[in-house]
Amino acid sequence: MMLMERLGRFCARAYLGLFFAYLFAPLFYMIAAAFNRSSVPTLSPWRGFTLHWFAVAWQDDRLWQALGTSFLVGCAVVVLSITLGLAGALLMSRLKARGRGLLYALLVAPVLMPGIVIGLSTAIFWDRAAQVSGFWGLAVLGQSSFISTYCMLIFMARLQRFDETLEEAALDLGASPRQVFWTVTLPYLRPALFSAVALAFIQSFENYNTTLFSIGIDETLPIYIAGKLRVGVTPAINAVACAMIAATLLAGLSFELARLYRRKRSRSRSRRIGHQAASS
Amino acid sequence: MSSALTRFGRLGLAYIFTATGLWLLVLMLLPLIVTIDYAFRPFLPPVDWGGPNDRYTFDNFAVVLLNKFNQTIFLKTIWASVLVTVLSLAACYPVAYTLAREKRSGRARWLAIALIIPFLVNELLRAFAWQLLLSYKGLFNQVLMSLGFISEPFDFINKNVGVIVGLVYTYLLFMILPLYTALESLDPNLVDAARDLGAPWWRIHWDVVLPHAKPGLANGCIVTFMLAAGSFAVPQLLGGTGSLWFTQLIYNQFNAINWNMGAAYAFCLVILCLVFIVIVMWLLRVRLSDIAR
Amino acid sequence: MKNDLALIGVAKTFGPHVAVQDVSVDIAEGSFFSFLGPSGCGKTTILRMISGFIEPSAGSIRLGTLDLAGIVPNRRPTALIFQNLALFPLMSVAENIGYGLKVRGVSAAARGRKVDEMLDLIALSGFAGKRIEELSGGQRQRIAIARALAVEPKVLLLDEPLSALDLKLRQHMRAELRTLQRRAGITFIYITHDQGEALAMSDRVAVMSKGQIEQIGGSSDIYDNPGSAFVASFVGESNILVGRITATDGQFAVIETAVGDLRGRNPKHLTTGDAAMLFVRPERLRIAAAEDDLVVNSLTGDINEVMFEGLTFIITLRHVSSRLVTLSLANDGTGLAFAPGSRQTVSFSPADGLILPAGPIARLDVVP
Repeated sequence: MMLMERLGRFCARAYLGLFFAYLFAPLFYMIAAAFNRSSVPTLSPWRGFTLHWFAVAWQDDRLWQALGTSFLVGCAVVVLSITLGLAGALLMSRLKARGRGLLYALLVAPVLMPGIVIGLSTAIFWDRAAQVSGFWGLAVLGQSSFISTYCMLIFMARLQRFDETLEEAALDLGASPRQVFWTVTLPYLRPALFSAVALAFIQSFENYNTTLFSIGIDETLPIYIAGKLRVGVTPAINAVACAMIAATLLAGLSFELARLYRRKRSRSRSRRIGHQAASS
Repeated sequence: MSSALTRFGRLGLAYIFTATGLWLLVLMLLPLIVTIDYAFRPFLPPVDWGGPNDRYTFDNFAVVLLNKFNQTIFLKTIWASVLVTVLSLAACYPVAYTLAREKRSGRARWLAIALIIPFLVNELLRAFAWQLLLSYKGLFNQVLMSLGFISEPFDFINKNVGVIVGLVYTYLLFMILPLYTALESLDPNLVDAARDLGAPWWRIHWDVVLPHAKPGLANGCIVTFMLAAGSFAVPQLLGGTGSLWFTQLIYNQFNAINWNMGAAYAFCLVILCLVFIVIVMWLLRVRLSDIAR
Repeated sequence: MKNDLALIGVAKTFGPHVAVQDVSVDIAEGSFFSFLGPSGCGKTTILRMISGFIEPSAGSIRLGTLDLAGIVPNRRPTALIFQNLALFPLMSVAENIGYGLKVRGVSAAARGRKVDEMLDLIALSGFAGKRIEELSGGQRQRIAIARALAVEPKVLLLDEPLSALDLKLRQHMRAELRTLQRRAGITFIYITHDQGEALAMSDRVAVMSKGQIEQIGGSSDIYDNPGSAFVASFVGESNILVGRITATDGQFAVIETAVGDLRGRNPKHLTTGDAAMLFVRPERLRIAAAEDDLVVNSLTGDINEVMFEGLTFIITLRHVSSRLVTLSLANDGTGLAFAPGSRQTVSFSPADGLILPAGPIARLDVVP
């Protein structure tokens, strides 16, 4: 019995190890290949360490332009998706009428729709309705149609635990509905707002399927990468990947540290107030 | 509605209804309706729009579903996506279970972070990483050949292996997370009780753990299947010309400006996803409200 | 007076459900008024109509000469204390109290003065910088009242604000609320299902049932002269005996019940043959001495149970007809002269028996 259990635990450990190797090995391989002097991205044969490919990537104007477009699209998507998602969340959390179920299904449907279909229908609609052909603005609209849903779900999760009498109390004390929103509802939603902004930006920044169909001749970073991958791959793309992964890790790390710092500060603050109360 | 007016004010209500309405109409319903409309009309030069030839027809669908070439790809996309779903489930279940049973919360947190990191890397780059390993002159073929298992490189890319491995890799997280959420809420005492009553480990999983995880299981399977079937980047990079994916057909039509045909393909893809959802829900006997939580 | 609050024929229906019907009441400025009733009787709906969160389906609500119809909650001269208090968790005590002034655009300095004044009023000076989660239940209670009073409302509405507190604190807060009301000098309208609270604090009480006012009166009036079977059964404890009038004379009548013919007051002038109910408070019953066991209104039975409650003994007597009768005896420190199981006779004076028309009574299980 003991032996069986130990064997089982060993198998579980071994499997977990294999699983994480499966997750990380390809990424490490890709990163490492960025430093090989070879003209194709590979580790074998190893032709010596170089930073040459980073320099090549750095000097590519198209890359910078694509990065700029990605930022532009990302920021626009954040603004639009937060605006739409918040409205949807407020509506869903306060609407108690019949038809709520149907409306909810409609608003959630975009995340279940293949991204490629959203991109195609965005392109077709704007071409047909307004003779607008693809450009970065269409990509914003296409992406926002489903990223707004993510934002809405984040806001709804937070609003679910919201005590609505707080809003009534504020109204009763003389605040106008607008003041209620800015002084009571929004401060409560702040953590959800941060998550929604981060998620919306990341989703937009990473998006390929929807963007591909609606962006036309403009280029976001994923579109640029896809273009690079289609013809004549050089380790420069590995260098780009390496930089992107580093940036992502750095952003994630600082986000996590900021969270820890905030929590620590609020804890020490409440302790300080506790001391004051005890000494007074 | 009068209480909503007191609560939000005229301006607030105007914002809520306009924003939601625009989102629903302009970003979702109208594009979808126009696309469906396109799918049922023939591809015509603009001068013939509204002319005698511009009428509703099933011709596009006949091409999508009856053409031998398209049929093969459509069916391939279905079975390969199902295979991807099953493989993901098999690969993720032990991980999700181990993670959910991990008692040290700090360790579980680090494992979770480690799980998420690869998924912050762009989908294209993840597929590219596998391309480096699986290509004709890639690492796997080099290793296998130098070990003497094969005498000439194996064509992972054109034999569908690349697509399937890549898709499993790309969408693992969407299987693990719902499974983990479902398994975490399982009372560990139930497992101990079942073991105490003498059930072998596979019975414990079959009788106790799996039924509890059913909603998460359904959620994971549905999302994984839909992401796989609707994936474009992975087949583009890890599938050769000999192993096209259904989404690539859509893109080809889009590029050829035959948007009517593209819309018909897209329509079929959406229907396929819906059918899969219904089948999974029927197989697992779960309701929509169990899944969408 | 100028700021008397008047409800005139107020009604509210939610679809087919009638929450409040035809409620008319005048509430004098500066008085402490309570709406008392079991949950679901419509009292909260009345409060929300006064504060403006619900529009009445019919009737009007006036403050002095001002008709409140169509005035949104944030412009009404009323302030509401919520059942859960609804203190803003992300704001400090001072920010909570100053909130109403801030949204009115009052300067920070003037706000600060008002906050200090309010903290003085509720005896919590020095608490300005505290966070809400650091306060005790009673302190939160007082902060909520200070926050409402800071905007100088004409009427303060309180929605069962004491229900979340424990018994001791609840009793302490009763006295405190009453004192605060005197000091603030404005109208308090209090909603509760707890008759003890209503009777202890109020100048006047309206007892409600099923969306209607059963009776309005002063506390002792409600207790001693209930106007209906519902009020008599809801307010305070009573032995309730159902029967039929067999004789009347002047202010009194005789009612035939399962435990015999009993005599009591007949304020509603019921006549022979009417279905009626007799209400006798437990504290008005007394153990009859052996020699006067032939007086009117005597009931004989075995002592079933004795419960000691400190101030009183609560004694249940099983009448020979097997009906249970409850009486309470003051604890004078000498203990009880009889044991459970012994046979005793109890009686009450006809002036302490109240005969009312038979009607719906408040059942224990509808009182939360």
